[in-house]
Amino acid sequence: MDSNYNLSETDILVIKSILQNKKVEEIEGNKDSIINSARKLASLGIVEFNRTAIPKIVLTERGEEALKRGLPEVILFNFIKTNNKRDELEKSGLSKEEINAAIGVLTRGGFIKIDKDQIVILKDIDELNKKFEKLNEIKLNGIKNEYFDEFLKRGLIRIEEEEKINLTLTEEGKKIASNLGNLEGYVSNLNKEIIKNYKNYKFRAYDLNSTPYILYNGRNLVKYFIDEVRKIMFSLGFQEMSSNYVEEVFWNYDVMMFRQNHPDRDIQDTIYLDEKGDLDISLLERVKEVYLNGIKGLSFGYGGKFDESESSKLILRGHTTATTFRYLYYVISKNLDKNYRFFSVSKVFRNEAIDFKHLREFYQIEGMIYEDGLSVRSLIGYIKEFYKSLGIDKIQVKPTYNPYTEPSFEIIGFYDKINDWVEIGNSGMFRKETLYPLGINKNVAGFGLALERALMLKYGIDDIRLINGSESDLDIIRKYKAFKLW
Amino acid sequence: MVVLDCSWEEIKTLVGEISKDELKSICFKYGLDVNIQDDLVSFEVTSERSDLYTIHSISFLINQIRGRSQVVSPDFDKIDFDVRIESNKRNKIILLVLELERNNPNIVKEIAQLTDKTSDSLGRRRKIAGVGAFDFDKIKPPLIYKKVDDISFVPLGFNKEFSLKEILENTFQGRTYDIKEYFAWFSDKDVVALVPIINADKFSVNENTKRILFEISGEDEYVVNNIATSILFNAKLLGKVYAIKGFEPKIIERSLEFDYNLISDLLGKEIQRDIAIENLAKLGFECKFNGNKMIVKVPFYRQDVISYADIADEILRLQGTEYVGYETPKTFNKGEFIKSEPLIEAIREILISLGFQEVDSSVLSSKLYQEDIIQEKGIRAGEFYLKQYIYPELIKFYKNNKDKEGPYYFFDIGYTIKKDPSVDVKYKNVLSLSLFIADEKRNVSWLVAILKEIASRVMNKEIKIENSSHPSFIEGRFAKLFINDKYIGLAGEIHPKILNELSLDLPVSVLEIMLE
Repeated sequence: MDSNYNLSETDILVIKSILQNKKVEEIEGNKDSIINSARKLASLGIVEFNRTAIPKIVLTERGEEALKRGLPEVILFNFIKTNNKRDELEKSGLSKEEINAAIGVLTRGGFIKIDKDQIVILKDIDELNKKFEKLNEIKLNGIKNEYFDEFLKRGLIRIEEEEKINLTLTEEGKKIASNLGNLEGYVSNLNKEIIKNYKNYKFRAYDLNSTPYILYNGRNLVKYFIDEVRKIMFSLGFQEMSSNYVEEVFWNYDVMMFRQNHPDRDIQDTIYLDEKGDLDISLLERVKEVYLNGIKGLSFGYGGKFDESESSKLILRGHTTATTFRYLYYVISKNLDKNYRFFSVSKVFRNEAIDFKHLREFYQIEGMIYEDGLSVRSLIGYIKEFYKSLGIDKIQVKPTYNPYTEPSFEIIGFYDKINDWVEIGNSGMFRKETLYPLGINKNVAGFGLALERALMLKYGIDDIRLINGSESDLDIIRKYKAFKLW
Repeated sequence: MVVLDCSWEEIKTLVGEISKDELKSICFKYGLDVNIQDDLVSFEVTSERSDLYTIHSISFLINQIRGRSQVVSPDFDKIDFDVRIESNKRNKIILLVLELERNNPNIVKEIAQLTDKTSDSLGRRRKIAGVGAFDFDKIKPPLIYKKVDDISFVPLGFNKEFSLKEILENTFQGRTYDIKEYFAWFSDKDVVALVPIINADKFSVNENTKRILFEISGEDEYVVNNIATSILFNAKLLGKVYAIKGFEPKIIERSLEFDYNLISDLLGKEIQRDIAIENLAKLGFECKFNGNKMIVKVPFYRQDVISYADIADEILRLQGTEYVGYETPKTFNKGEFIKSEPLIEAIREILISLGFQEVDSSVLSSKLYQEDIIQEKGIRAGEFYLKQYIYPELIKFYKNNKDKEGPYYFFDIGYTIKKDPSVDVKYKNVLSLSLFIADEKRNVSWLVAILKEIASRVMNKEIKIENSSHPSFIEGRFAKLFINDKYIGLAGEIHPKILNELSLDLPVSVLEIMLE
């Protein structure tokens, strides 16, 4: 062995493997270390390193998704069979963009026609099922077929260059290989015996540039972000609320005067448990009274009927405002003279179809303020302070509707990254109808936003499912292990 | 949220000369969502505004905001018509007749939107009330409502007669409604509608219709009246409206009287009285002052306006939210985290320094993970099983990512859901810690060593380990964990039968404790 070469264990493994006619991908061990070693051996003139790129058709994430769920046009077609109302197509679980594209495909293909508010089915979709098979064929074989251009245009497939590395020994390499037997006297790991008699041993060199150890420890992107938001709320003088995911219909809807038998309750698709909880009957009666008959001099109430048979049903809470109302009742109404600011960053649940920007469970950031002289003017001040701390200086508030606040405001922020205004939160002054049964007379304000939405914007994450819960992608989580958020 | 589409030309016809930017700006300020793409204009109407279910009523609102107000009164004349109710399952019926003022090419679409949107939203997809619209001039008295066992007619949108059975099997509407008894309207002997399923084609509204009959019916009188109020207002924008005697709506007109200071208290800025009056008048509210009292008569179609806060909101929407400005928080409050925060931080730091990756596991799970593996009765919520333990979720996370490069050292500090009959909702969130490794060189002993270190260094407690058994873990490699004789969790190595079921090929060890 030439003493000029300081060969590591991996280098020797690579040389031996070439002698055994193994392909690179067949060499056991850490792939990065093997490639690094091969490059090093090539630079030393021991091996010839030839790389070729072979074009290959692969499915994009959207393509994989289409195979898993079905093509958007097929999903939409099957949905239309059960609900042909044009303005309800979003219930199909597809995004607006997917719906528009699917309508285009179905209309052009003569499968449907749009008739006023309804969509009329013209023929069945056997052809589309064939298209699905062709997409699967590309996944399996990676070769072109008659739908290649359409799939490419729709972003279902992409062309990737598959890299093939071929290693051969140079003449110098062959010489070194023939001397590999001399390495037998070299040792890797030391022990008590070797240390004592070290003069009898030669130590195998380690290439410290290609360490086989990789540390993948770190924080989770979503949880880190939650803690950043919590610190901001803390710095603004807010106290954190603790809560339960399981809630009663009463605290999720009734106490907030979501009207019964009304589209107000469609805002959230609720997930029910098959059990009932215990209600504070006197509070329920007070809520019912205000709901039906209002508050003298302040409100007419909502009238109609109040059905309390639903109130004790257990659900997974649809919003953390349920917790806010528990704090209004159990803390604030018992300490009316004090000022309070409460917050939570916690999970909420909706029985919705999942797509790249909608989840069934997601985090809601919630802030509630109870203090003397609180008004819309001061609420907007709080909102500006909060978003400024998040790094968003330019915000606008736009009137909107919310069943339990009036006035209510949608918060719109300007994101430099995409150079546009986007909806980032909601806020408002709690209605007197909701506070009166709790015994609260002062103004109370609240604001909230969906945490994942802010995350998507911040990091340019296109598909929120990649960082969602147990379904997260480990590589994406590792990618964001070291970062500065704002 | 209700979506209404129309063409840009239609808007210009109803609103007058207006640019797209001006329309967007008006809508933004008032809080009406609009999306304009080329010639297509879409409005998104929020759930409280059941008065805005036609393009005519939206245009009416835009005109009001632009100061071109018109007054729409709730009055209507009554007409005689022979209506016989021979069966009365759906006990509240209101019948309105709209006499169109002019030919309107979009009338069929407007009427369809109005009946569909009111039936779907207020009528809860026609489950508690619904609306039908018919060509009134084609209906011959008597108009009869009765129970039917079988009928035959050409349904709307079809060109041949269907029996009741065929309607239920072959039409979308027929398949949608699960009804035990069937009721229909008849004009003489002809079927007008099978309520609330489908109308007859013969009596449908078309471009040549001059008079439209709205039939509003349902079991809930309150909802039927609300729908009728929305129909009355929207119909009044299209022509003259009559009610058939004996089937009139009960129109509720409200007058609010409140201390005007409440408005400035709520908004944080004093709104001059003349500004308030002017803004409200534009939107059809009549208001006056009596000393410090403001008295506001609410237009009959604004069923959403029930309190002074709604009045403040309307003033602000017209004036623009920037009018009130903002003020930075003045009072001082001390921030506070939940009490377990320092504990969580300390544990997290130790685990990350030991090479663990933090994971945020899901709450909504499946029977396999949150019943079969944990070997406890699952907590069901709809189609889901809730997270009683974190470790099955970490196993799931590993399964989803086993093709990614190792090492696989994961931890999660988060909330599990545990049964607790002492709380009002019967279940409570319990803060828990779970550790997971999939590794050939390390096993559960290492996890227990880490826990002991955490317990002594961070919690100042001693962990007691009691060997035990669990069907999902290897016999002899499972233990229950205690602090001061109180059960806090478990540790063990997952049994190969579970690993095989999940197609996992590395040994997996887990540990989980409740932190509270």
